[in-house]
Amino acid sequence: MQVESLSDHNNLLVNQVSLNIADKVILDNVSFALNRGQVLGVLGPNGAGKTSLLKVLSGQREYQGSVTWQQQAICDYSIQALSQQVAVVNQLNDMVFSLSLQHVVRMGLLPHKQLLSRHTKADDQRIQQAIQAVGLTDKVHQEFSKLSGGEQQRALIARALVQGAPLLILDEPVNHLDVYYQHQTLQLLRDLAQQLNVTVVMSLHDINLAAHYCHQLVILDNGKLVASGEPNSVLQPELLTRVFDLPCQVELQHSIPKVTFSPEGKTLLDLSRWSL
Amino acid sequence: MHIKWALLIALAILTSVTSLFFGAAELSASSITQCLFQQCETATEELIFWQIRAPRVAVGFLVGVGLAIAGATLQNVTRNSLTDPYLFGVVAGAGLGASIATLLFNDATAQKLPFNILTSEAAFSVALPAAAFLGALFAVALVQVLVASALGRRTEHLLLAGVAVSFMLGAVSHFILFLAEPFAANKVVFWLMGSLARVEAWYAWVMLPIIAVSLVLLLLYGRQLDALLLGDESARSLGVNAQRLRMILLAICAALTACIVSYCGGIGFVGLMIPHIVRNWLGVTSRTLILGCVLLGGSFMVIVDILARVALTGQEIPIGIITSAIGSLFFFLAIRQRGT
Repeated sequence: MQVESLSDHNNLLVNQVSLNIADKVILDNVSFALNRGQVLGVLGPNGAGKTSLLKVLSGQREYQGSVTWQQQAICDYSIQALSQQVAVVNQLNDMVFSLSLQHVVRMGLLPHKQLLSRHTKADDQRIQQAIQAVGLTDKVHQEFSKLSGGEQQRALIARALVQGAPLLILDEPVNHLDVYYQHQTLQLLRDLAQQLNVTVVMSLHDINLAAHYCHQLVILDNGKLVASGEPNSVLQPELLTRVFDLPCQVELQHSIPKVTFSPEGKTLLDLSRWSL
Repeated sequence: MHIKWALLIALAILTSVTSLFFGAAELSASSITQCLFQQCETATEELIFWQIRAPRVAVGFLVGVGLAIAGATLQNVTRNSLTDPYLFGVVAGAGLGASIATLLFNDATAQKLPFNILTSEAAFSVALPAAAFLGALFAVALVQVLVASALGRRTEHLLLAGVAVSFMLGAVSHFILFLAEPFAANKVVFWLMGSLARVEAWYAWVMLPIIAVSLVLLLLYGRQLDALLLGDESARSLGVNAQRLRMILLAICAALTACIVSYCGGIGFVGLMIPHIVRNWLGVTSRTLILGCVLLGGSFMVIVDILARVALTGQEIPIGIITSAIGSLFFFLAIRQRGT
């Protein structure tokens, strides 16, 4: 695909990446490139390999092929050097012991601390600003595991902000959020890209949100990259119908593609012999 | 927050000083105060005070510190609040190492072996904690292998693996002691229950550096220790090499446990209970937790040691009986609290 257009400006290069887990093909020869300061949405049905791709990009999975960030292979970074370059917001995991929101956000400082370095006033300020940016100032001291799913997600984004890495990787950052915070969070990521030149890579389920907030999209299907590029070029009805197995229409609204899936409404369950 | 720390420090000082006033030998309160602040009046008093009383308090405090910080570390490393060196098999491993050393240095055995050099007292005093350390490392490795290979990473499995390893190594070491000495019962009781009754002054000087170095390392690794709570992948994305860190921390726990078990036997549940209380009362971040464990763990052990000496007239209760009695109740409460 875009590999021929690679140039020095391309900061994230993914070249012929494959990943097999126990003879199962998870990613199959995936290649794409992304410029600094762009927001990339990774789309695809469940099990298409979105999470695996993000784990490869963040150095959390072994892979075949090459992934380079700022002209250096991801696997050549030391763990600490990588953590200064790449911040990761994974899907939520369970949290043990009652760490507060502030504790969790504060861990974003770790990549910048040596064993002996002290916690400074500036650090506190940075933490406070990040928490403010995601609108959680009033929950600073609450126990993390007692926050709602959406609040936890935003707290992890705040941690990534504190981490201050130029590449930000998020696995379904909005799937626990209500409509307001979906837009709020995606706008925040877009602002980060535009104002601080942060490169954002995230997986999303909502194609219309992706079309609205992402500069670039890639679509994965069964581990293969089936399309990549700007939303206008990627979101073609035939392709989407094939990948998501649902008839769909695409129309332009304010020059942004809007995708409508129209399920045929066929009955899936035969409940005629079932009574409640 | 400051008040809580001040209270803990006051508690540590108060219990330690109070503990000096208890013991088998008759020593009046006034002569103890005199020993503490000036010179002892007689040579006998000086001997009792500085060779028996003070070392016992110091060793008791150090044992409490060591067990509590080892427990706190194990809990963070395994992301599980229901573990401690005793339940995790580390104590049993250290006990096994120590019993093997005891067997090798037994006069009768040593004569049959070609390396007579080992029979010297000095070699024994080095070999005992070293063997205990190796045994503790072995136990830690065994639990890790069991959990990683066959059982998966569930909390319950980790606990079961720890308890299983604990029983297994315990059985082996008791068997060794039984073979080595016809009258092994005393030693078995010692490894099982622990005791501060035979403490000597130099114990403190061996334990102090080991515990102090471990403490400093744990405080330095405090931030990383916090990150482990998020899980290995998140820790890694924050620049922490979780696997390597876990190895280092488990080795520190093994060293702490080994030096305690070598000299004072197996004392259970302190490492479970103290971190639990500190987390609830002071906070969960590692540095707070570990410093809290130092103060509360030490104080707790000194108090238990007073109880061990005064509960029955004329004889001492092995200290592990008291900690296990209190600790098992606590364990029960913790499980109940978890269930709700």
